[in-house]
Amino acid sequence: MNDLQAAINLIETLYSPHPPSNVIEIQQQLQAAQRSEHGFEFASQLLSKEDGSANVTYFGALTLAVQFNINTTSEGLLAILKLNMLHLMRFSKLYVLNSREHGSRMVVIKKLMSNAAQIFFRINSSNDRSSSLEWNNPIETFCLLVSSPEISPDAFNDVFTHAMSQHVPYEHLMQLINSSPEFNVLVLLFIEVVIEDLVKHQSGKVSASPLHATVHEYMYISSTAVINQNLQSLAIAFQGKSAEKPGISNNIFRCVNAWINYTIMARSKSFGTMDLSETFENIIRLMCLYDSTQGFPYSETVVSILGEIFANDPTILSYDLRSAIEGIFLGVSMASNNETNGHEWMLNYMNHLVINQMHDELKDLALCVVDFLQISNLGVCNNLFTQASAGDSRNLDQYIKVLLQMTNFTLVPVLEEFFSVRMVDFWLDLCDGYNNLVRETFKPETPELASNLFGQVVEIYLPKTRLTNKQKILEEGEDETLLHEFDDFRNAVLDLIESMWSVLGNEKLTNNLIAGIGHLTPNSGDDLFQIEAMCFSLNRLLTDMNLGDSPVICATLRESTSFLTNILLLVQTGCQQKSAANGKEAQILSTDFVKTGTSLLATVADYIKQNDEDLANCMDIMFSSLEQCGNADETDIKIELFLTKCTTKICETSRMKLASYLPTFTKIQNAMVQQSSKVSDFTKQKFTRCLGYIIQDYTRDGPEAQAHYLATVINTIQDEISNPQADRAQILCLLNCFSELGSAMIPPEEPEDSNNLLSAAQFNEYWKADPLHLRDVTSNLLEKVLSQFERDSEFIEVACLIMGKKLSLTEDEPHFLAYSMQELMQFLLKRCVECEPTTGLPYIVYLLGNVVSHYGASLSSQDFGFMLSKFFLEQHREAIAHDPDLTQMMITFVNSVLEKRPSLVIHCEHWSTFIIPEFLGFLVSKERFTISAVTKFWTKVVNNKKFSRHDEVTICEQVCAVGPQLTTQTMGGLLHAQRSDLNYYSDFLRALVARYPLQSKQWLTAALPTLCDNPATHQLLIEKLFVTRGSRAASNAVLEWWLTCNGLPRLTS
Amino acid sequence: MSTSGFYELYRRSTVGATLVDALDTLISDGRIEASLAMRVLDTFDRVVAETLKDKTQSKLTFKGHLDTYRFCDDVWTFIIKNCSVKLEQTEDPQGNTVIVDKVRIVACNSKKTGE
Repeated sequence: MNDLQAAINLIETLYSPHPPSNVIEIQQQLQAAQRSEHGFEFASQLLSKEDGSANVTYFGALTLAVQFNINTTSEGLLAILKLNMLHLMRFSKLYVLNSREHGSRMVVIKKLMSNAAQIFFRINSSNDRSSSLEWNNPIETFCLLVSSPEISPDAFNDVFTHAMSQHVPYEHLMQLINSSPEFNVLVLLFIEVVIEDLVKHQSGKVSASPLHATVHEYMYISSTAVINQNLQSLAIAFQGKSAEKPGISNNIFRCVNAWINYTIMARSKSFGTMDLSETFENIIRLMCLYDSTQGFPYSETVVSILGEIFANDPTILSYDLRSAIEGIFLGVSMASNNETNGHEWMLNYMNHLVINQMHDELKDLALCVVDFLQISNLGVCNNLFTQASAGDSRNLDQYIKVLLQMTNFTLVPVLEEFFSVRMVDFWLDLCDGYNNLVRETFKPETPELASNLFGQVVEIYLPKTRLTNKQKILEEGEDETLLHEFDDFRNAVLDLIESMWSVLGNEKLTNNLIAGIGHLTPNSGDDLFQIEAMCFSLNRLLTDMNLGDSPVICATLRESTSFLTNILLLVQTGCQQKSAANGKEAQILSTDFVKTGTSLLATVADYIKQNDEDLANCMDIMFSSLEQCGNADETDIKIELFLTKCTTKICETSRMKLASYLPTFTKIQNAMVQQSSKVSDFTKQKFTRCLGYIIQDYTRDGPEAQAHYLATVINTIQDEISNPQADRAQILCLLNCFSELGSAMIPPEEPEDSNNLLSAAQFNEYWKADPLHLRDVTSNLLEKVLSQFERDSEFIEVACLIMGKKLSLTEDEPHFLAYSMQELMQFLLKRCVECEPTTGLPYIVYLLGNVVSHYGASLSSQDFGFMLSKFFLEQHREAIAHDPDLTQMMITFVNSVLEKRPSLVIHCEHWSTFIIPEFLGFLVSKERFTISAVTKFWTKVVNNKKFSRHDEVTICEQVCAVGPQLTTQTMGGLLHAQRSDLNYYSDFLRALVARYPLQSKQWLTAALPTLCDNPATHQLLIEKLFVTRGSRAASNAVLEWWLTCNGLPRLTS
Repeated sequence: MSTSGFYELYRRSTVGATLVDALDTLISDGRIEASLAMRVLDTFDRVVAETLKDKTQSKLTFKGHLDTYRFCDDVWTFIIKNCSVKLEQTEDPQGNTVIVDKVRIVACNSKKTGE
């Protein structure tokens, strides 16, 4: 591009608000000019244009950045730097002279400052230290250049060279920044740009120690001097009542933030500590400035800065500073009697935020204060509870009082205040800290102190978790985020209460909650909210208790006369208020009521079953509540779901006590599964399961009576399926009900009635004979349905689940679906022929796997070969070969058998004709699922503890025969694999090298040169593989080899 | 910890590993420089950490047999066997419980060690 004006036109077009359609073409033309050998002159011409617009000069600065990135010589770099600084000086001087007129140049100035920063980094980075260039402090150079008298471009070289090496004394620097506000702004901006770019620059460099050393030695001193001077000026301006906050304050705080971030980063990389204490003292002083006319001009900003520090790296503040902040925030210092100046500011600031309803600012303050408290949590714990306490006891009391007051903030949590929300974490940590203390270190009064303290905390939090607060959030009409935050808060309080249980125990916590629920006679909505909050907490405490083995808790529950009544009232109230007519707010709260109530009922199911009357009450209310549900809306569906889950749990637990309900349950189930029924499919299925639980335990009248009830349920399902009105969804739901019935009939692991164990043999015999032909009825029913839906995977899935119900049980355990292996195989073969392989075959193979696992002992390798042929190698071979999921399924099936009965696999007819050659080919697959499965297969082949001696010999011969090919395939697959798949191969390589050390070395030595020409790397890999033992070391060796062969970087630090 | 001050542990997640694979392909094809890939991964480390901290509401609880635990180089590792993981999803009232043979938890300190 020879014509400068043409280039300028293109630049203006590029940056115009409505760029033309050929903007990409323009961009490419301009980029070519930037990268060309004339790029430097191009930049110079653009920047020098007196009448150039901001777009044109900015593009000139951008071109310099491109030139800097492609120019690698130190001479070239110096030339770019000089040109950059010349124009930075020129534009800065113009800005200082008249900031209004030249304000639009600020974007160009910033870009030129950024260019200067990048060059400064390069000059001082480790790789370029050998060059002759030396530049220690760009800030001082900038100050000297901008403050210098007019310089002609010809004289600039000498002036710049001099300025580069010149040091500016402190007094002179202060004079310069005080000389004009614009000058001061530019210096602050340059500091901010350099330091921010330095943080970004660091992330891309492995080592930049010399650069950080230079910054530490030179820039740190001048920058902090400038910043501190400015911070002090703000304080002076405030005291001078200058009425409004100086506009420069944002620039100063941005600069402070940049330095803090950099110092934290530099500390973490061990580049030395840069002390910012004076700066922190200044900003803390600014934070505490307030008066009636000017308000709190800097409090919010400084609180936010301190909050960031406490959340990320609090130790950047010295101990003294933290003590001072402790005094400001809490008005008391735990460890000393130091003056606590500034607490008055804290009280006034909080008051100001509360009165003016500045909830966001109050939240920031809460985050800052609690993060601060968390820093010294361990110290607080030691001082409070151990003999190592260093503090004055009166101070400690006061300290605790302040913490409790802060927790008990009198506004609505989440909506209006965040102190109590954030303090949950503090108390949780303190409680965990207490629990971890060694008991011998306790002070004599510690247990009582802890129990009092944590007892008070529970008392504070219980009312805060009440749904009355959620109601207020709903009334405010805030978005759902606050509702979720409130739910999170309630859950966090649960964690806290659970942790406090270890201090307070049942006596002071669980029993109190039970008594609180049981002795309350609810007269108002508030009472119900109180009950809900206690139920919510109690549920967490009781979840992990086995009430069957806790007679003391059960006795307490029994003494609390209205305990169950109140929980049931909660459920009933929720169900009564759930209608959409009551509004969204009522619906949300109703859902919470029912959720809490039903969860607690399910948790105390072991207690409920101990009293027939309680059980009857619960069942009646569950049924009547379920009756009110009719899939009306989302709330209705949710509530029905909670009720169903609770009913299922109670039925599972109390199955023995519910025998008398069998006729009622059967009738309800019959009504429920009708197509006209409004209850959800989930409820239909779970209710059938409930019925199944009761039938399962109904053994007292012998197997005939049990079979009679089962036949009734099955008939109901069968009749409904045969109903001509039944559509796909209804038939599928009915089959799922059948599957739930089958699951419920699986005996529990620990039956309560020992007679059940005795009668198991009798029932087993009965089901083997199956006089009512329930197995035939079931399989005929499935055949009938599948004749209509043979390619529908959901039907295949549920049919396979029903057929395989008995496979998880032993031969001695009774179940009405006890199909023989022949019956199961016939079913599976038929499904296999009819199914759509991609969707249906996985379910069939899943059941096949269970059949092999259950009947493994009676199978021969011929049987296994037959299965392999029928399910994988005949009809569906093509589909399996082309679908990675199916390929993985087939390999996984082989792997599962190889793991349990390897001889079935290695002696089958397809071992050498199909498995070995095909599975060798899969090693170079590009699919992760295939690679994962096939490498496991080969690992199991070379290293299998289940091999017999005979298997071992056979396998050894075969591996030796295919060894070279196996190694070539593995290493070929590995070389072209993605980085994330390497571990699969390295695990197999480890196994191969360990099992066949001599042979594998030869195989590797032969295979690697055929893959790529990198002998040294190959040799290194072989050496490392043969000396490493751990999985991680082997993975690293493989990764190193892979990176070198593929020319890729490590990408980790 | 990466140079940007965030842990690199999420690079081993599915999304992280896939990003690394994609960057490998771009480097191999000569479309980006390795240094850019490093920057992308540094950004990934930061964004994942920040997003998980600020934007997630789901919680899960688990119960099982604590088989192994260790604390080395400020990193806790727990291996829990026969673990029942309960997912508490706000949107899904059914909740979900997943039973798994083995869970490995790697936990790093979100803050630097105090004095």
